[in-house]
Formats: sequence, C-alpha cells, structure tokens
Amino acid sequence: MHLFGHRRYNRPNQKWECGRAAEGKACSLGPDSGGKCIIKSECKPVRDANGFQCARPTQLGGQCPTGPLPDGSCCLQIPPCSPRRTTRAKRQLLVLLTAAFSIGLCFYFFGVSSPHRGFLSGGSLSNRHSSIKHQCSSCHATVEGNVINWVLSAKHPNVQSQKCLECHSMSPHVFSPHGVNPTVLAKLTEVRHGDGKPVEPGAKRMECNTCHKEHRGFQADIKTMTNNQCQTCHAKSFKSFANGHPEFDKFPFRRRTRILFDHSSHFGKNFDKAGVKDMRCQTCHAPDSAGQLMVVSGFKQACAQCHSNQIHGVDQLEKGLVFFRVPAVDLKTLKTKGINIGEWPEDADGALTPFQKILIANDDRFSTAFKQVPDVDLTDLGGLSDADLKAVGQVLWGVKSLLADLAGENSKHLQTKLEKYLKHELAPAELALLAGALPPDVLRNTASAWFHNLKAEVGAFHTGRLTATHRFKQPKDLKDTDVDWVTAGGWYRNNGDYTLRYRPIGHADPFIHNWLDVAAASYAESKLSKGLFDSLSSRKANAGSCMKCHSVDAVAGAAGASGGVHVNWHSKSSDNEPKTFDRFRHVSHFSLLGNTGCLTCHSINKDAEYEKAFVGRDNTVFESNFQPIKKATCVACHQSDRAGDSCLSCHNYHVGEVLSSQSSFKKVQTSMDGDEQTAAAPAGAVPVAVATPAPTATPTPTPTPTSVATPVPAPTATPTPKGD
Amino acid sequence: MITFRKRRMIGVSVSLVLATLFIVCYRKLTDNLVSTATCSGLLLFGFILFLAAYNGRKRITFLPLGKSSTWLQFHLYSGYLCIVLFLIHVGFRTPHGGLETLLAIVFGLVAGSGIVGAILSRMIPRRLTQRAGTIIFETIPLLRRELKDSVDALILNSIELTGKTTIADFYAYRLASFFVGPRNFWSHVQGSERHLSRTYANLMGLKRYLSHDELTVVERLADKVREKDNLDFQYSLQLLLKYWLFIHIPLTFSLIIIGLFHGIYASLWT
Repeated sequence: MHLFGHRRYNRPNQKWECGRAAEGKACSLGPDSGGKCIIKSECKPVRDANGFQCARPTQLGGQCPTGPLPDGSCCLQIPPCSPRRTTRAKRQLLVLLTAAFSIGLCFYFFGVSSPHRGFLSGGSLSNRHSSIKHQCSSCHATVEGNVINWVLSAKHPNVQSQKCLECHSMSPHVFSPHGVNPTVLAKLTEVRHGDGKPVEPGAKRMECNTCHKEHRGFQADIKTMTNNQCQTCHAKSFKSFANGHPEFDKFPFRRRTRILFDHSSHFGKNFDKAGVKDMRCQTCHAPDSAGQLMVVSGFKQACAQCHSNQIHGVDQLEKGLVFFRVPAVDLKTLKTKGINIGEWPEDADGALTPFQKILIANDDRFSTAFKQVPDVDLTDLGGLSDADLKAVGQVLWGVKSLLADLAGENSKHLQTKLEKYLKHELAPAELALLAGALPPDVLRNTASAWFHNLKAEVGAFHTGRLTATHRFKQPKDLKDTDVDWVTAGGWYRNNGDYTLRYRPIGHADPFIHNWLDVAAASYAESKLSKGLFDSLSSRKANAGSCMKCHSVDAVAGAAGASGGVHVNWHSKSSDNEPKTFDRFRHVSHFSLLGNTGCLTCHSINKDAEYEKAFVGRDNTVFESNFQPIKKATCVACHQSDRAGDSCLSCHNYHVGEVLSSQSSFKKVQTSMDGDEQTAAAPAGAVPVAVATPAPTATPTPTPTPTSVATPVPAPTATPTPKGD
Repeated sequence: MITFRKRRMIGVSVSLVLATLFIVCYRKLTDNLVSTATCSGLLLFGFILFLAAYNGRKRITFLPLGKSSTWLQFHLYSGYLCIVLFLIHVGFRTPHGGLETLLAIVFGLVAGSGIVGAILSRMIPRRLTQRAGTIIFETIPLLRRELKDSVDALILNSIELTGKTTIADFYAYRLASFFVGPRNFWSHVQGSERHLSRTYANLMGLKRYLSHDELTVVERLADKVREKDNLDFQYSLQLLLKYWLFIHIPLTFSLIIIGLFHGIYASLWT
C-alpha cells in the first residue's frame, strides 16, 4: 500500500471534501463549511513594486513560470468542483432527517382529530370493549379535545376508573379489594385466619386497571389473574390448590337454604308415603343458563302435587286469614264507666287483627286514641284508667267506623289510610293488590248483617249526637257462608266469630305476598308492621302457610342495630344471589358423575337437624341435609397438570352486586321502565306493590339479605356464604 | 491491567446480575399488582439517553469524561440491559398499538444494529489487519483511481512492447470494469476469495496464447488485480464498519423522540 504514497487530501472530520479528491486533484483549501467550492486559482498574486507576483506556496510547486496575468489574476485558473459530503456529514444529515421526520410524525398524530388517533392507541381493545373502538373519551376522561386540553386536564385526579363505572355497576366499595367494605374484609380475614397477618381496612385503593389491562388485542383476556397475584394480599399463602389450600369450610352449605326442603325426610319418607315414584335430583333441579347453579324448578313442578291443598288450607280447621274481626270486648266495664260504644255483640271473640290495627292507627280520627292503648286486652278492661277507657272506647268506634268506611260508597277511605301507613301515594294497581280485590258488596253485607244501625251509629258518633246505647241484636238465620265456595281463594264472612276472612288463591297469592313484603319493608321501624309480619309469617298461620317453606332472614338495619326481615320467596339463583367468593359450574362436571349421579359429590347427611335451623331468622345457623364437599374431591382433578388449579377456576374476585355492561344496560332499561311506571303512578310509589300478581316470581326491592348472613354485621351488600 | 477476557467476564456478570434483578423486581411487583409500566419506562428511557450520550462523548474530547474505551464498555453492556428493560416494559408480549409497534420496531432496529455493530467491531479490525494492513477509508477512491491509471498505462505499454492486443482485449472485456469501482462486496464480507481465484484462472487461461513478453505483462497485471482486490476488501469491510452506524445512530435519535412522545402521551392518557 505504501506504493500509493501519502500526498492525500484527507478531512474526514469535516463536512465537505473537494469534488476532485477521488481523482487525486484535490485543491489545497477544499470547500467551505457550507459545501461551496471556494478556490478559483492556484494562488492569489500579491502586488509589489514590480507589479503582481505569483504567491503559490512552495509545497504546491512554488512560483509558476508564467506568473500572474496583467490584471493581477492567477494564470492557473481552477475550474470549480462539486464538493461532496464526507461520510460523517452524510450520517449527520441522516440523523437530522430522521429526527425531523420523527418529530413531524409525533406532531401530526398529536394534532389529528380524535377518529384518526387509532395509531396512538395502545392496541386493539378486547372483544368485550370493541364496540367503543375510537371512542377514547369513553374511558380516558382526561383527554377529550386537542392536545392543549390534555395538558390542562392532566392536573385533575385520575378518574379513569370512574368512567368504567358508567357502564359497569359495582358495589359501593368497588375500589376496595374484592369490592367489599374494607372493615368487613378485615373482619372476614380475622374470622378465617385469626393468626394471619393483619389487614388494614382501606389501606389500598384498587383501580380497575390494576388488574384489567386493556389494549392488549382483540382476543386478550382482561379478566385473568395469576395465582401469585391472588396470594399477594391474602393472609396465608400456599403453593397450590393441592398443596396448602385450606380445607373447605362447610362448602357449599354456609348459609341456610332459602326454601325449606328436607331432602332426608322427603326421600326417606314423604315421597313413599305420597306414592311419588321415580324421584330423581333432576326432577326438581336443573342448571341455570350459565350452567353454574342447579336451580329449583319451581313450586308448580316440584311441590304443587303434594302441597297445593296446604296453601288453600283444605285440611285446616280454621280456614283463611282474618282481615277484619269484631273483637271481644269487656262490655261490662265499659258500661260501668259509662263508655258508650253503641251496639256490640256480646259473643264476639278474638282480638283486633293486625290489618285493623294498621288501618285504625292510620285513621286521623282515632290514631291518638290508638297510640294510647295499642296493645290493651279488650276483654279485660277493669284495671284501666278512665282516660285509657275513653281511648279504648274511641278505638272501638274506630273499628266500627272502619267497617262503615269500607262498606261505604267511597273507596277513598281505605286508600287514605293505606297511603298514610305506607307514606306514599298508591297507584290503582297497588291499591287493588293490597285490598285483595275485596268486593264492596261483601263489606256492605257484612256491615248490615253484624250491625243493623252501623251507619246511623257511626254518623251520630262523629257528629257528637250519640245519645243511647243500642241493644245489639243477634243476627238471625245467618249461615257461616261461603267457606266452601271460596275453597279456590277469595273473601268470605264467618258470622260465628264475626270475622271477614281471605283464603289464598294459590301459591304466591298476591294479597298475602304483597302484605308480607310491605310489612317486611318497615319491620324494623314499625311495631304495627312487625305485628302484621309476625302474624302472617307464623309457621302456624292458617292462611297460605308461606313460611312452611319460605325462610325469613334477619337483615341488619342502617346502623346494624335494629334488624329488619327479608322473605326468601325464591330459591337460590343468580338473580337473587350477589356474587360470592366461590363459584362452581355444575354443567362442566356432569361428565364426571359416577353411577350414583349427583350423590357422587352430594351425600345426604341423615343425622342433620335440618329443620331446626328454620326456627330462627339467622341464616348462618344451619345444618345441611348434605355432607360438605371435601377438598380432596376437587383435588383429584384440579391440579396444575390436569384440570388446572388457577384460583379463578373456583373463586370470584369481585363479589357482591357485579354487573357486566350488558347487565347494567338491562338495569338501566328496567329503571327507565320503572320511571315510566312511576310517572304514571303517584310520586313515591313503591314498585313492590306494582308488581303483577302473577302466581310465581314477584321481584321485590326489599332490603337484600346480606348482613346477617355474613360472619360480621354490615349494612351494605357483602358477600354471603353459599347456601342452597 | 485488566485483560480483555477478565473485563468481558466482569461486564457479562454485572449485566446478568442486573438483568436478573430487573426481572425479579418486575415479577414481584406484577404479582403485587403494581404497575411497572411507568417505572420501567422511565428507567428504559434513562438507559437509552445514557447510551446515546456515548455518541456525544466521542465528540466532546476536551472534557475529562473518562476514557472512550470505558464508555464503550458501559455502552455495550447497558445496551444488553436495555433489551431486558424493554421486554419488561412491554410485559414480555408483542405490542399491539400503532405507536407502540413503531417504537418496538425502532428499538429492535437500534438494538439489532447495535449488536451487529458490536460483532463487526470485534471481527472486522482483526480481519483487516490480518490481510492487508491499514488503509484510510477516505483515501480508497483515490488509491483506486491511481491503480486504474497504472493498469491502463501497463496495458498501453504492453501493446507498444509486444505489438499485440491480446492482453488489451482481455483487459477491455474482462477486467476494465473490475478496476473502475468497488467490487465483490459480499464476497469480501463473507471472507470468500472465489472471485479472485476465478479472475486468476482466467489470466492463467490466457497465458497459453501469450508470448514471453506478454507473460511478463500478465504477471504484473495479476499483481494489480491482487492490489485492487485488497482495496475492495478494505473498502467493503470498512464500509460495513462505518455504515452500520447509519442505522444505529439516526434511529437512536428517532427512538428518543418517539419514546419521549410516547411517555408524555402515556402519562396524559392514563
């Protein structure tokens, strides 16, 4: 290589080089920093006393023989070249161009309008959210409008999770772990793992995107969680389901079944006795639409064959629910004290019914008197003061006025009293349900049969012209009518004990059903409601026998102090059951059943005192007809190398009321429907009574059966242990 | 004096420890439902800025910022860690969004070109010194031109000397284009000399038709072919050594700009 010598023009650290460098004819100066050829001749002649002299440097050949031209210019002119960029300069140019392109690209996408910002998206939305593609502000509240708005809105706190809740209805404590009240969660932890690490209530706010990572492609599962993630917070961590997972605690029978059905007695005795043959589990149970719960098929299919007559009270001695009664009264004491109550049958029997108490207590004319002697024994008035006796007299006139009002021409009397009791105006449909379609003629006939001068007497009482006590005339030739005629349900009068009774029309009788719901709704607040509910829900009640099968759960009041009640009209289903921590898909396991069918897993516990749990209202006190499921049963398959042992296979993260956006939409729709009905009905109407008097499902907005069902009291929706 | 082997062992060990630490932290934080995106993103961006600073260090020679070779070592191993950080940042998954995909591609090209560059920087200098000494890259066009001129002169002299045009014809048809510019780039990159053997074989085949004087010219022509091939070898390898930076450096700046944009955008939208 030395062959070529070292006379080279090398300026690789500069931006430009002479265009003739490759030809070996590079000029001495090279281009300027702007890439322009600046040399035009080999020298710039200098002028002295002898004229212009050549100034070519010695290393470039020294003075030329010709010398400068007469005008002082060099005789050796160099034609201009096209300077070339050096390698380094080319690279710098490329850097500048790439950077400029990148900046331009960024500004372009920052500046484009919303529909074209798809390029900026973190990726495709999952299939569940694909419908809101390109609607960035549906989830990203801080970035509506242009980039200036983004920057300005960035100072606001993170509200992205709130946007999620616009579609997804969640529990009030959605940002607490599991969506459970932090205090409740801490106590649940304490109950289950008393020796575990403490849980600080409200220590951590869980944003939705903590777990649900979007923009990960159409097929992405944004609900998945790893076992390690589950175990991060939990008091006790373990290696796997098979190795370390706690044994099941009475699973899945942690709460009392909603419907009382003793499998032991039915299969062991009742079915044989009733001649029912070939009863199998699937006769009454079928998987729900999600394939998870084995729901009960309903009264008509499962129970009606044997239990219809019990509802109608066919075998009962005293048939029907007493709505109105002429109560037995200590007439002697009243007469002695000069309390005039008009004519009154001496052979009357029994006390005021809860219905009467409610209606009299909500009658402005008698409410004060009723409050003075609400629970007085009318058959023994001897020990009462004169003032109390006077109040008793007023109440008894209230009884007669009530009958007179009901038998009168104007139905407004009943409506006014009920509205005062319910504290809202009644729609016609509500009134019809609560009145049980009571025919006016029945009332009029009753009034005229029992009290011959009722209208005149009551009129005189209210105008203050009551003068003398009419002697009561025993009704003659009155039969205890209609009891058989209303076997299928309806109103009838029993003259023998001066009662007006109602016989249920069948299962889910709307009159009794609605009065139970109304009474349950104000059970904790109203003594009258409590009396009515206790009367109707008594397992010895001779009308409907609802509570023979339907259990009643105690519900904690607002402060967890005074308790309400909730009637379990329906067996467990996904509609009435807030999501719990556990889940089990029955359908997926059908193929694993052995010759014994459902008994493969559910073996009957013949020694269980099942019915005993239904005496009280605490649904956690319970002994199932079935043996609890053992962990070992599940472990047989649920291992990492077999059916999998992911926590989410059997556990829900979100518990309580959790609705997908689709379900939420239905909820909104229902709400809108409700609004329409409310608009048609007087303001404040309770939807419960508007529900159609269908013989089956009647959804009610009564307090949810939650708090008492949990190991700890809580006023809000908390996960209830699994039951039936 | 730390030997190259020891230095590499230290670098690899420290990088592996740090990479393991990053991954363990990532797994731990992910298990604890802590989002690592912001943290890993900032760390990654910091690493990229540090890596880019090496280019600046080479320009700022007057400041006492440490030896360039030390910087290069940090640049290399930080670059490997950067790849790990990138994988952590994207959650070991393929990006889906347009911007994220673009960033990933740019990062991939920068990282890939960096790795290729590191390999080339290790291999090429050795090959260059093993075969043909050192020639300044910028002088190669001039040397090529001078070589061609000398070959042209040799051919013309051979016509005058021998009175025959056999060699001149062969040169005009077979060799002239070879001397005009760089040739056989990929052969030189691959280290192959098959093209040279082929040319020599053609010259040897020509010998049977030549006189004694012409044979002397052919011998000299063969030397010129060898010189030209050496020039091409130098040119090809030095070109690789210089031009991988044409991908690595511009895209690094692009990566910084788009990455910064991505960071601002992500912080505004979350």
